[in-house]
Amino acid sequence: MPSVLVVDDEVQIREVIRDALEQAGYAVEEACGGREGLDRYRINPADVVLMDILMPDQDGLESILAFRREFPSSRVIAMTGGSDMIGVLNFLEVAKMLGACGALQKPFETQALLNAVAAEVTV
Amino acid sequence: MDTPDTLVALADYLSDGIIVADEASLVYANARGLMLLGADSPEEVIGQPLTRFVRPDDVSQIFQSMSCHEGDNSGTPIWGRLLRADGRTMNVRGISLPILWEETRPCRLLVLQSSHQTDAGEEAMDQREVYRESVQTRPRVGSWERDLSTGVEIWSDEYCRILGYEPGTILPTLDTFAKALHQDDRDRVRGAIEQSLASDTPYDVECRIIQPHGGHRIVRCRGVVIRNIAGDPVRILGSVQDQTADTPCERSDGQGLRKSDEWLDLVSCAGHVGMCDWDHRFGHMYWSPILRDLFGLSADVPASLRRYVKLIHRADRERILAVIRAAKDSAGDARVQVEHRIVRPDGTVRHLSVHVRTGFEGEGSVREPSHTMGTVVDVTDHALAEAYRCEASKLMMISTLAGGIAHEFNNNLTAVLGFSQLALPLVPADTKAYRHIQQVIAAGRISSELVHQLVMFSRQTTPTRHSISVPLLVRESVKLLRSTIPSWIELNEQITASTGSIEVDETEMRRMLIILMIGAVQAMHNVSGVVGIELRDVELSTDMATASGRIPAGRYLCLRVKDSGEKLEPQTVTTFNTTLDATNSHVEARAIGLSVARDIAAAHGGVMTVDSRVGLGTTVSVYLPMPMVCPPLVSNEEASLPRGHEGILLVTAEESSAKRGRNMLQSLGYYTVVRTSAASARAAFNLAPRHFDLLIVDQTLSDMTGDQLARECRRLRPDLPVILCIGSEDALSVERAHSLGIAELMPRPFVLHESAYVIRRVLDRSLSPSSSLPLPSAADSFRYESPTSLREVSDAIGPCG
Repeated sequence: MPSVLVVDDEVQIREVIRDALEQAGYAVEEACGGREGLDRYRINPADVVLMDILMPDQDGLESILAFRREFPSSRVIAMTGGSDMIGVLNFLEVAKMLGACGALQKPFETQALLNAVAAEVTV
Repeated sequence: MDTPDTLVALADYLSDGIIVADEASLVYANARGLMLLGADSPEEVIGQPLTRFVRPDDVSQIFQSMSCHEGDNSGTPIWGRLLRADGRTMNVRGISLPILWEETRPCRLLVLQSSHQTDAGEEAMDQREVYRESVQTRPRVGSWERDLSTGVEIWSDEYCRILGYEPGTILPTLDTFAKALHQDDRDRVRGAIEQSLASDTPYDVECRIIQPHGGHRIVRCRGVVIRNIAGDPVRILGSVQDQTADTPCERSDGQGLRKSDEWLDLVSCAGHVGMCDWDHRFGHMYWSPILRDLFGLSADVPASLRRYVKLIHRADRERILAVIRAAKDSAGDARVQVEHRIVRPDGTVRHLSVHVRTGFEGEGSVREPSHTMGTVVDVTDHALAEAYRCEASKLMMISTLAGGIAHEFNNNLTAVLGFSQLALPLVPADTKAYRHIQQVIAAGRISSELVHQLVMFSRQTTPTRHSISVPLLVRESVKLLRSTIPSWIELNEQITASTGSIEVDETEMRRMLIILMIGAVQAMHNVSGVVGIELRDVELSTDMATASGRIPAGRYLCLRVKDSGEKLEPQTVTTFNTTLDATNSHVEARAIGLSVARDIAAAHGGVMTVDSRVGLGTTVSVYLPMPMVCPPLVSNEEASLPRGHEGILLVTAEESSAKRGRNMLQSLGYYTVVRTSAASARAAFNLAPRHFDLLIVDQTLSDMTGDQLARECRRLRPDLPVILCIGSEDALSVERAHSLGIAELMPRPFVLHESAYVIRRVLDRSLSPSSSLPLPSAADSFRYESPTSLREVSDAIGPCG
């Protein structure tokens, strides 16, 4: 069973993603921040990591870098509800430059979530 | 008066030099006095004439001091240089008192301090010498002295004249001097004197003197503080040198005057400073040519106060009249600086900064204004820049706020949409709960799009241009606006442009659209009406002249925003930049908005024109140049939307909607047949019912309702999925639609992003084995049919498709 690690500080978001993915047949693990996500990944590497960008303890961009450094083959999909820009790039574009393999702008359709995860699992 | 014995006894205790002398000779000197005179014993000086011990050039002054105030026991100040027996000069200062020596002999008692007795005294006395010499040798130099303990001042005649008074006609006081100073210089001069008092250094400062009759002098004030033995300041000695004579205008040879005029011309031209002069006695008024230019008046218009007041913007008039009255008030300080607006004869509004000064004649109850001089500078650009700065600041705050709100909203909407979509399959499709959840999903999607629009509008980014579908931008902006405007204002959207994407800065373009639309809505001022938004292709075969400039021949995408609100002021229509004339904030905000929109259009190579008429409202047209070859109507955003190649029959009554819908569906890859009436749609469907995978129909048709047409089509094709487009005025309930086999209800008008997902979902559902709709046997065969066959069908059934 393919596995997904959902890293988001919002419990509602983690819950809705968990339900959608579990319904689609994925095993889902949750973490409420970047550091906790990395800890969990070390114990149980997931096939795909869904990583929120704006989190209080360690932001997603740092976490993506950390994942890419420690686990170069990890598949991280960035997601955010924010609209902030770094120069001319938004956070999701920056996340992709840092090594995220996909990006989801919140709010997203359930199907879009499933499609994004499925694309990485089958890679 | 003390006897000599008593005096001598007392004098021996004093550290001051005590010298007693009559007009002929010295009669007494105490030890300190002998030291000041450079003598070792009384015999060397007693009986000698005092003049022997005074520098020749100080003799007259010292003796004058000694001789004045006869009979006055209070003493008079005395200063000068003693010529010592050793040949050195000793600076001394002190007082001179009249006494009777040995009860019969009239003498003067001199109580003197030498410069050696104070730290700064010698230097101060030397400086005093410099000033005295300066006073004596330079023309138009006045001197003054102030006793700090008593406040008594002594002014020279020239000093009185420099301040504008005849000697002897004015009480010399510090207050008189302070009042004569130009108000802008007062703090500076006061600061220099205070600094001198605190630091024991001389001061030297230039300042302006305004004389009672209105004349002005430029003077150089210098002074030094004199301190006593304890180091406390006791006197200030000063000089005032009139330097006005050094300026060109005061030269008596005429050349100076000419030079002065040249300087004045140069300065006023460089700064575009208008000048006026108003003689109150005769009522004459003079306006310089630059001032006439600022006023927009020709040389033949007589200068008068009445004409000037007439130019003042009505909203500022009362304020300025009050200022004029105050400027003429003899109790006031006669100087006024004020900003106000004028409306020139051509209707343009300018912001002026006016400095005036009124001169007075007479004193007390007979004091009255003699003339007023003024300078006028146009500060409209400054005022506009300030207004833009405020707007930019507001936008920045909105941007920050919107970003924060968007983040929170998007997280919440993710939960709303996600949980709703997860819940939907768990509920039987024929229940109210199912339909309610559908409504939640639809509302969530709309909210999501509104948040996106809000963020895009407020985002501050580096200008970047992408190939963007302007029709799509317009539709999205209209949708955003629709949710915010009052219900009594109708938005009439007509997008007939067939142009695809063009290179624009998306953020700027959104901002321009919203500015124009909000401006039009606000122009309605709480009355019902229609705001029309048009987007169409325009081809100019020749150049077109407009009030905003020439529009070269060529192809343009023309955006028009019309309102039926009140007419704009002419200057707003013609120039946009002379806009801060409004008496209410809505009009002012619109004027600024138009200016911003004009700049955005210009930045894209376009031109904006404004046509405003009484009773007809205002039409703002933006002409955006189109490239010679337009790319297809697919933007970056559109490219990521779900697409397909199925056949769709679109039925809508409005020509513009039909054209827009066809463009949109075709941009998503669908083969589309469009009809504008139920009858023609039915005919097309009857011709090839199996060639359509989806019917999208507007509920409001001219000859039949949309649900009736759907029912008729489904008689032929029961598996045909139907999307019904409804507006707020349509009374069709969800239950009713569902009972008719309607797959989805979609709000009117089409919005590409939303429609693309709905269409794809409905088509996918019709393919799904779990779909409640039976899968037609012919559908699959059609889906893999060559697209050409549908195009052939489309062509066969009429030009509209």
